[in-house]
Amino acid sequence: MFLMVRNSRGLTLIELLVSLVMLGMIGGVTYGFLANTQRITRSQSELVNLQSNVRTGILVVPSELREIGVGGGGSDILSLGSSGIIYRAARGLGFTCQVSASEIRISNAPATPYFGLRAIVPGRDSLFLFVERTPGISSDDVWVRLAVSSVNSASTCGTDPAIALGVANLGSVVPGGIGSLVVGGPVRPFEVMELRLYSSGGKFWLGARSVSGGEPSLQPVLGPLTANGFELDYFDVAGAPTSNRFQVRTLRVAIRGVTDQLIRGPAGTGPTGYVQDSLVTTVSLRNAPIP
Amino acid sequence: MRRSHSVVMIRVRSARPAVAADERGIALAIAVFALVVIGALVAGTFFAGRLEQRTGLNTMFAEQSFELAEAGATDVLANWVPGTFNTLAPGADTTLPPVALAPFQVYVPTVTRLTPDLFFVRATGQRLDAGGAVLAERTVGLLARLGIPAVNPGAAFVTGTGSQFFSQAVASGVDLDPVGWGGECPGVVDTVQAVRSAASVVDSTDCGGVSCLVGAPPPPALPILSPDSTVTSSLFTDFGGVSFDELAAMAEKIVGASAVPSPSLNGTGTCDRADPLNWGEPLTGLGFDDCFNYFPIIYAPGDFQLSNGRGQGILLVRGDFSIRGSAAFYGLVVTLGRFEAEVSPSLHGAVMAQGDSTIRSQSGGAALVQYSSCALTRALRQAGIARPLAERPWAQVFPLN
Repeated sequence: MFLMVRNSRGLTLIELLVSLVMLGMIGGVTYGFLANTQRITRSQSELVNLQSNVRTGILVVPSELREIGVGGGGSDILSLGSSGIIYRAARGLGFTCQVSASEIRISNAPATPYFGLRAIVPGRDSLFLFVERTPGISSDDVWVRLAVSSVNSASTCGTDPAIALGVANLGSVVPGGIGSLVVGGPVRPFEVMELRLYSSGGKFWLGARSVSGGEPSLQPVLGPLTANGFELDYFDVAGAPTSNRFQVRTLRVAIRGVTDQLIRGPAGTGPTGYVQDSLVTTVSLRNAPIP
Repeated sequence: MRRSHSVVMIRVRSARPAVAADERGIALAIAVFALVVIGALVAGTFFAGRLEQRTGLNTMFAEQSFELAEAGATDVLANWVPGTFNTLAPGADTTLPPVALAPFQVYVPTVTRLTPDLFFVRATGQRLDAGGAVLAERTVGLLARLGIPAVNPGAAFVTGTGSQFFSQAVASGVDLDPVGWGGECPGVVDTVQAVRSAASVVDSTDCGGVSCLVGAPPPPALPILSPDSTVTSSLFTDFGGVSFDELAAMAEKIVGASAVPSPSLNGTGTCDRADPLNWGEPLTGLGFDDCFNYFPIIYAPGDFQLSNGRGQGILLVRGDFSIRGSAAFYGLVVTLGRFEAEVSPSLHGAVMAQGDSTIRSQSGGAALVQYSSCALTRALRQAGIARPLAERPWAQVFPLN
């Protein structure tokens, strides 16, 4: 009987107020906890993205640049600057199996396949063709540059699969004529690329475009970066800075990234701002002559 | 009274669970909710951290495999094995066993011969886990050119001091392909002096005047260039940037004081290159044709005597070299000590001896030193070392075309 009376009495105003206060306190603590956690999560996510961004850049850029060739009176660096570079980028490696004045066929046989980053594209890609002029003597070997006018990926050399590349006036380009070519030598397709820091939407990005492919504008590769987020320094064989594209032997690449959003400091007490991170590496040009 | 009291107690006990449920429910729900939220946040944070860690590790593995590949390609060139690689036919390749540079870090090298002079060396670097599964893989290639030792003796016999020819001994600078070698060196005719000597003493009086020395310029002028100021000590130790010691270090066969070489086949009927006395087969049609293209480098660290037998390649002798009986050798002989040939041995190619030399026929035979540019060329080509092209030798190799 006593319990029945008590259960039917309901909540007093004081109990209700106490409950509301307690709920408010719990809700406030929970909200603060969630908000703080969200801030930390967002900050961590931003930092992870930032580090990933910078790390990707420091992998991609050297990978793209280390195959540049310099020497022998030529340079694959066509234009150099501190925030950008235009260069011939290697896109594959193959070996001739048949040569005529208007066509080079690259072997695609199992023992000598074509190793390509992608398929060769006429107009966009050109070739370096190795010419071994005098057997047994390396001093007169040369690489000649050829434009590619057509590609037939379903060609053959004998019974082996091959890729046929249309070229013009091969006989006049090759020293000593076509007869001086030793079939089986290497062919290296390349395209002219530009890497440059650029601004878009109030942020800075590392952009790339295929110059030889006729791409008019830079496409973002990674970012956002700082205003000096992509910086190149060039050094000669002695390690001294140089601006002569024929003398470059090593490059120093700096990638400086910045978070996409504002990040508050620990526990909401620190300053709010963008966080920066950077990586720097040195790239030795593998196809530059060794002193 | 006692009975009534006990009834009340039962009622109280039976009513309490309903009261307790009403008062504690929201706290339990909040606690569970908080635990779930905290758990989710911890899991999320852990996941993000784990993701970052994995990304970092993968980056490291990719870099390690790249470094392994590059080290592997360089390693193959630095430790070029002429006997294995120089005998590949153009278009053929060979893949060597994996080489471990560190625990779970290996490279797999492949050498492809592109042309008679060009090779493509590629190495695939692999970062493995404890079970041997590949975590990351990169391939790097190097284009290389065969650097053939630049040996131009300019005579059948080159001596750093004096030489004597007795009896029917013959030194001929008339370029001849060895018997049965037709087609191996088409169009090569390169007649040279019979003898070049740093000293003025080339004594052939005991073999009936100069008739035993044949070569350019033809008789009546003497086919002897003596004294020849270009015959210096470096001629015997430096072969166009490849030293005597470097060639010796590449030797497949290290011999003692004497040997009688003979070609041999292994159980599968192919040339047995592991046989220390198999120095290739210079003759054809005798059942050892698989050794016809085998030209090993043979090195004798001290004095060495070749008594009978036959072989081909490059023979390097640090001490005195003596060839006797009916021994036959095709290719290049370089000795830093004295040279002596007796009875009826034959040498096809060229002989370079830094010390005194005596060539003597006996027992009705004829000791012969016969110049052969073909024998020289074939022997030297097999001894070549591949080096990176002067321009654009390095390539990142992408696995798919």
